[in-house]
Amino acid sequence: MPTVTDQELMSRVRDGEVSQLGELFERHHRRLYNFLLRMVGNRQVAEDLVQETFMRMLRYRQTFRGEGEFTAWMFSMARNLGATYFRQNLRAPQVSVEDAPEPATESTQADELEQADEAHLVQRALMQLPPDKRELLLLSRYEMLKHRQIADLLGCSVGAVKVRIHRAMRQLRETYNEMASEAST
Amino acid sequence: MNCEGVHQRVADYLTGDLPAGEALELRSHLEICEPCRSELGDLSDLWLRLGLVPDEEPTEGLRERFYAALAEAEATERRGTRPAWWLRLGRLLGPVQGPRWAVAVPSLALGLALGVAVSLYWVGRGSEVAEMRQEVDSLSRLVTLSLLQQDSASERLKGVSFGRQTAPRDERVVDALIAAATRDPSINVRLAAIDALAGVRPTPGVGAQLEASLGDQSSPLVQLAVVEYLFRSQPTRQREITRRLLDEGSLDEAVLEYLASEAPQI
Repeated sequence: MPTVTDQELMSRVRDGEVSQLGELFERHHRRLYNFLLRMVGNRQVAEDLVQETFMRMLRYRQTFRGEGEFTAWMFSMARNLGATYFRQNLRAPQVSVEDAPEPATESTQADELEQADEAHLVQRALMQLPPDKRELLLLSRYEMLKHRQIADLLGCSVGAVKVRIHRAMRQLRETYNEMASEAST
Repeated sequence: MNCEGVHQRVADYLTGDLPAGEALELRSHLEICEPCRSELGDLSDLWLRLGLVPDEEPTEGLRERFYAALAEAEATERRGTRPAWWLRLGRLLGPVQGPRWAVAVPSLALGLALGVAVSLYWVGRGSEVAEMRQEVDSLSRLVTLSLLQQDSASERLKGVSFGRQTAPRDERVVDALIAAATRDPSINVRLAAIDALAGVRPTPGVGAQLEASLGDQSSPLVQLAVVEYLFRSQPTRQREITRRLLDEGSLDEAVLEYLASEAPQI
């Protein structure tokens, strides 16, 4: 458990101790990278967006009030950048499934290979979802944000978040089942 | 609980946020309802499978790029505001006890004494120093204007860095910095140029040209830097500028949010 909270570090950054952003980077850059990688499906773009997220945090540090959670504030920056990325790439609304990262498979054990194939399949299905639904599942499933936090981020009610998660999971199931049956034939 | 009730609780069920009482009711319904049992089973299974997707490690290049950018930001910060050690000291000491003049007067006296001593030493060499400064300024202008014409963005950044030192005494350098701030293809160069201009005594001309460029600035970072420059250089126009930009609504969403949050204080 870090002795200095994220809020405290970000408050210091806001007050002029810019170097403290380094500690926040060490704590959160892997998490942000994986969120953005699963959003955009491209490693280089994901790294650029992580860098840009932290620079935005620095640039807009005066907007950090220190009242809400740092994580939610950080993800609001990251998802805005993700949305901008998709707006600028309107001609390619779906991320190419070829861009989906291949899970690392070092072991030759059959069950582990099977698990790696399974992971790749579910990841490809995830990449086929529209960005807004994919983002919702990433925030809930991988980032473990509470429905209230997601509602605040998206600017909607908690009830709406729950309904959207249900719909996104249903669509993911359809896509996943289609891909699984194609893979087995 | 009926089928509709189950559907409303799917998200809470998946994330483990369903209260114990509702979970009990839900299980009772599942025992008698095959479609709901099947739906929830499928989605739970898929939810678990999502956990199979492993995390990846970013390249070491990301860390290197981040710390390079942070170092640049720190350098900018040091030029513009109080140093970090000052803030740490402030936190350590807490609020200053007693009247401020009790601290300020001795500091002022010490500063005056040092100033007089240095002036006495240099008074006989005044013309020499002035000539040397002119030569340095002239050379620095030449380097600045030349570097700002280079194709490489890092060279142009060096140009801005040179220009920062002579701009307060050289209008041609100020013009070159304005051109860089408004038209340079690199966002980093634009930001650095705006930052350099902040060190020059504000004139209506500089502010007007930066303000006019806002419509062409696509980067929210540059937009925000221009807005901050305008606020600092023209404090009496803050309200007018804020209202106009909010009314126009043509800036980036995040910048408009920032303006809206600052508006009540202005």
